[in-house]
Amino acid sequence: MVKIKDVAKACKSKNASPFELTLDIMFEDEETFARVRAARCITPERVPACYRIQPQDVLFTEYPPALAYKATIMRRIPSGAVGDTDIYGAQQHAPLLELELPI
Amino acid sequence: MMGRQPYLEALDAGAQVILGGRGTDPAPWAALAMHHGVPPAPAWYVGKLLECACNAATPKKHDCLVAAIGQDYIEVEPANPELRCTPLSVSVQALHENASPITRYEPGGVLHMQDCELRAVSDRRVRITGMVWEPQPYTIKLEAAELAGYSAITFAGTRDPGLIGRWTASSSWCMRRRSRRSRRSGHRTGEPRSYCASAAERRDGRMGAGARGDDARNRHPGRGGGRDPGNRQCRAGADARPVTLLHTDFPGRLCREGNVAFPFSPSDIERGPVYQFTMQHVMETDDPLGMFPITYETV
Repeated sequence: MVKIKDVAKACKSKNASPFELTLDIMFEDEETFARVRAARCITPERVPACYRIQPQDVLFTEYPPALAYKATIMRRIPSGAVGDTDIYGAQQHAPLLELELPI
Repeated sequence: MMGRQPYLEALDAGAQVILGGRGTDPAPWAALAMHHGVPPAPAWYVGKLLECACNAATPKKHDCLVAAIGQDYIEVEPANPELRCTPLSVSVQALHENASPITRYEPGGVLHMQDCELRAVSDRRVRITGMVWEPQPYTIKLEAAELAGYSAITFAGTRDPGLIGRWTASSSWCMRRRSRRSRRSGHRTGEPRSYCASAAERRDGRMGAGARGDDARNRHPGRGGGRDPGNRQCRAGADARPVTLLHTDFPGRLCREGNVAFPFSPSDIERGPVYQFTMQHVMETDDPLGMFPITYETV
């Protein structure tokens, strides 16, 4: 079973506002992206599960022009507020890296 | 956060250099395009491309992007001949630092991009068509931040397996927030408040998630603060953390000389005032310029 870290061209996170975090998963070529799509393995359910949040709390977009998936979630703590450990939200991609893809 | 109108107003008045306040990222470019007669849809789309320039090129690099804009299309290519724009590289920028690559809210409307077509017109130039602008009641995004307190940080490590093995329990005493009641009341009355919060970060740390603690490289920055910079509670909040880390007892403790290793002395580093975002709203208004006065100077 391959994982996202084995096949993705990019797997990244960043603030989408002081209160939101956006996660992008991108693939190298159309053939790989097509296999991932066909397997229906990056979904509005599986991605938030990596962050222990509910599907209804995620804005999920499949974006074929960039061979990408995007998921936007609320930050538990706003950027820069007391207790925040990642001001730009740039290191919140890690839980996705181990997501298994049956392709 | 202003939209395109203040920039457009200044350009129409003949401004050659504009120093602007906080606006949406694409607004200055959208305004320039619309100043030259470009409709809103391609103007806003090209604004998003140009705000990060060669983030839309490959290889990604800090460099300039050149855009040609028509009534219903955009063509972009990098100024640097070593770089190329491809349909894939251009579409990547649509994902950058936003909630959705297909819907973008701007003052006065929504840009829909789900039907965009990106086509290579050469090996380094891309043509984009199909963007749609849907006018909506005019809104201004409002943001606000407040003084949260005063901050100091401490770095410390531990190699004690007794403490590391109990990390979940020990981090809970690190994470507890002090003087909760005084902080809440202080917020209303302006009285000094003090609290400590500790962020436990590991090499695989997650935002807001617990840590397991199987590694000696744990890092425990602690922050303490108070509303009043001259108040003793501020210093106390900062100073309490190293002492607590160093000398709090835990079951199985064998080294009572100190629980942690401090790499620096003094162990706490003052960071001064810290602020936090407190508001993100949109406000309807009939006057896109009213909140953004413009003054003109000749230099």
